[in-house]
Amino acid sequence: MDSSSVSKELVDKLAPIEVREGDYDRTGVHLDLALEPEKIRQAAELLLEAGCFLENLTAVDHVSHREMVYHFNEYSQPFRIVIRANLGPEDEIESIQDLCPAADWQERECFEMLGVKFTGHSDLRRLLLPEDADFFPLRKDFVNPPEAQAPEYHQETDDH
Amino acid sequence: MTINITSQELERRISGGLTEQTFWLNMGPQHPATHGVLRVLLHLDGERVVEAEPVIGYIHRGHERMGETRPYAQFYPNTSRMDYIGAMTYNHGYCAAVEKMASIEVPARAEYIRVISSELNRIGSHLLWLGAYLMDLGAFTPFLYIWDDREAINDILNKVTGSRLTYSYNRFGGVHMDVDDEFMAGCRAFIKRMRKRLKTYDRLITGNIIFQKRAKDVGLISPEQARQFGLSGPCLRASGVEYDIRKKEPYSVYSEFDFDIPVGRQGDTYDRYLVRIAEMEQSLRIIEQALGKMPDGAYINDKVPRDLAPDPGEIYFTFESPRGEVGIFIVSDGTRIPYRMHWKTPSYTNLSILAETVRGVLVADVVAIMGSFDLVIPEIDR
Amino acid sequence: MTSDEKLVRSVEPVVRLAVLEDILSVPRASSLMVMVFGLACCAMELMAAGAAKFDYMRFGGVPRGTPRQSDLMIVAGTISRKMAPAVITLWEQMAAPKWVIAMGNCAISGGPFAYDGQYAIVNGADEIIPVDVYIPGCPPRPEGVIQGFLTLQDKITGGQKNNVLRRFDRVGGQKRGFLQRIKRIS
Repeated sequence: MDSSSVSKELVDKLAPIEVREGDYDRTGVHLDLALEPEKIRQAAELLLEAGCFLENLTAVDHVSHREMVYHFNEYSQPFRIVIRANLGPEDEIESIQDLCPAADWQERECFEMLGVKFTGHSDLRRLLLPEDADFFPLRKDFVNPPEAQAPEYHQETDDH
Repeated sequence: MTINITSQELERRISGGLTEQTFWLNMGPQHPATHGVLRVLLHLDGERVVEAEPVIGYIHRGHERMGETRPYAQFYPNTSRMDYIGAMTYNHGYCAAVEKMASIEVPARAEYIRVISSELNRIGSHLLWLGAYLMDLGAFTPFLYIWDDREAINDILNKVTGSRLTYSYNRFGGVHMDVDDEFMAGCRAFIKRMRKRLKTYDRLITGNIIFQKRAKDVGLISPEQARQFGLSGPCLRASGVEYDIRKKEPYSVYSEFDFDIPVGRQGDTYDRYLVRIAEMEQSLRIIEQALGKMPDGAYINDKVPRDLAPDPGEIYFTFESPRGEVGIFIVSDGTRIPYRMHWKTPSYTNLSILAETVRGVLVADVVAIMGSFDLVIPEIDR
Repeated sequence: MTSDEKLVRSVEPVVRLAVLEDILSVPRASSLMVMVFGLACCAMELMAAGAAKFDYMRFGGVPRGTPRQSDLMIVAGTISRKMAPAVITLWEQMAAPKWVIAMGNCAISGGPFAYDGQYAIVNGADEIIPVDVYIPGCPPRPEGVIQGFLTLQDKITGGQKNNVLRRFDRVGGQKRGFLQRIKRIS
């Protein structure tokens, strides 16, 4: 599959907000598309059908908005595509868990670290932090939670 | 609590039909075979697994948040601790990523030294995997043999880096100390020794009937499944997909060496074992070529500013650790502290396929399959 | 007194139950069953300390897989907040007399991960369980692990000066042992 034909096809079908031919030597990507959040799922579908695999799914917290970043790559030749979408503070985005099982844990992690909600995810709960944690550590306004009480041990005897 | 059952009661219960129940078994955070703090919740029907769910986060130390609160160079020791078995490769990859972002030149000699030390680390990592995996399957001998080889690697690297495990040898722009003739002679002696040892391991393990019965046709992963779950590294290559970052997107000076990518056929645990053994031989080839071609010159670029502040922008850099493809995503806002740093580690995606692969297998096979993925849990939890 | 002797002195229990404890403490110290509890990077050096080149097993330490069969828990690695209840459970499952060695900077004080703003770890094993010996290092060398092990044995027996059986001081080095006495005479 030819990289330039894939790019052309993507650009035609998705009508992205902004296209940048990636500067591979500085940024490591070959093609950079900025899309509306609703088009992310369609883009992911197209890329996965074309034989790409999901390399990375993450989010960046710019204080006024949140930016979702998805990296796709393919096996036969180095061709990295990044699709990104800006979300407002309360926005949600459609999950791509059913298209691509690799997104399952990565979406859960995005949710627990930054608070991004994915609609359609079958099981969006905490992955790395304890189940009852109620803070989002990677948000820029995260303040360290007050010193948690260290759990107590129970001892019957002091005998050593 | 004792139950006194009369014979009539027993009759009644049996004729009424004995029922069976499945049960949940917790393969807890502390377990000799999980290689770290991983918890696997197994839903068992007798000895067969109905469903398995890995629970992670028991060694979550907040690396990504630490990446956002300290300068690039101060974050650097964290990279050794993320994957401590392949620490040199992580150091190499992180330095290469930041250098690419900040357009820092690295002298040729430093690149060769980096490749040699990374490949030595790769061999050490595969050896440790081999020993630990075979110990899971019940064989204690290879575990002690591999420590002998790992101590040989540690002796070579200890003299030049100062450390046995968390090396922190690279610096932005090169390496910390130059290598001398003792290092080169030690590497050459190690190559000779390791080639003999690989033959020993081959004789001891590959044809062993017990190992073959436990590893062949167990944990099959098709190439399509591997693509959907985003597998990488030896797990992916054992399923037949020829994808290695060192060949596809060469970083450092890997494009100057001649080496093969071993690929498996079926994607079972036996193939994952064969791929890793073959990769060790290929790493020895790379080290041999690098020793022969090592140029003279500087071992570090002196002009790198102490407080590195790359231009605003982002980078996604991938490199090949012994476990697979590691992706570093760094967003810089022009200051000396990164704005966002995200690490996509191979054990993370390799573990996510566990639930799929162990449906319907015996409990002992769960251990065999999980061991063959070569997981390092702090890399998953970051 | 050498600094090692001072160290052993400072961690002795206050009340000593005389001869019986002295006699019992020697087999306790010489056959410690170690629970395999590697959490993170230090686990690698613990494994190296158990392997052929360094080998803490020759001092009597036998690795066991379950806390029910161990007397010694070597906490090797960072304790995260999610893991802390599990660590306490494991400690409680060990039968007394039991000891804990905190290996590595993370188990001593949180190590390289302790900073203002850390949300995920416990700053040291001694915040949640009582610790007997601390082995500093990141990771400590296997020789350091062995020294920690021997220090614990000294702590258990009381050392040559305090134990009625006059067993050797492992950490301080053997003083006037049998062979040395023979050499001096002959």
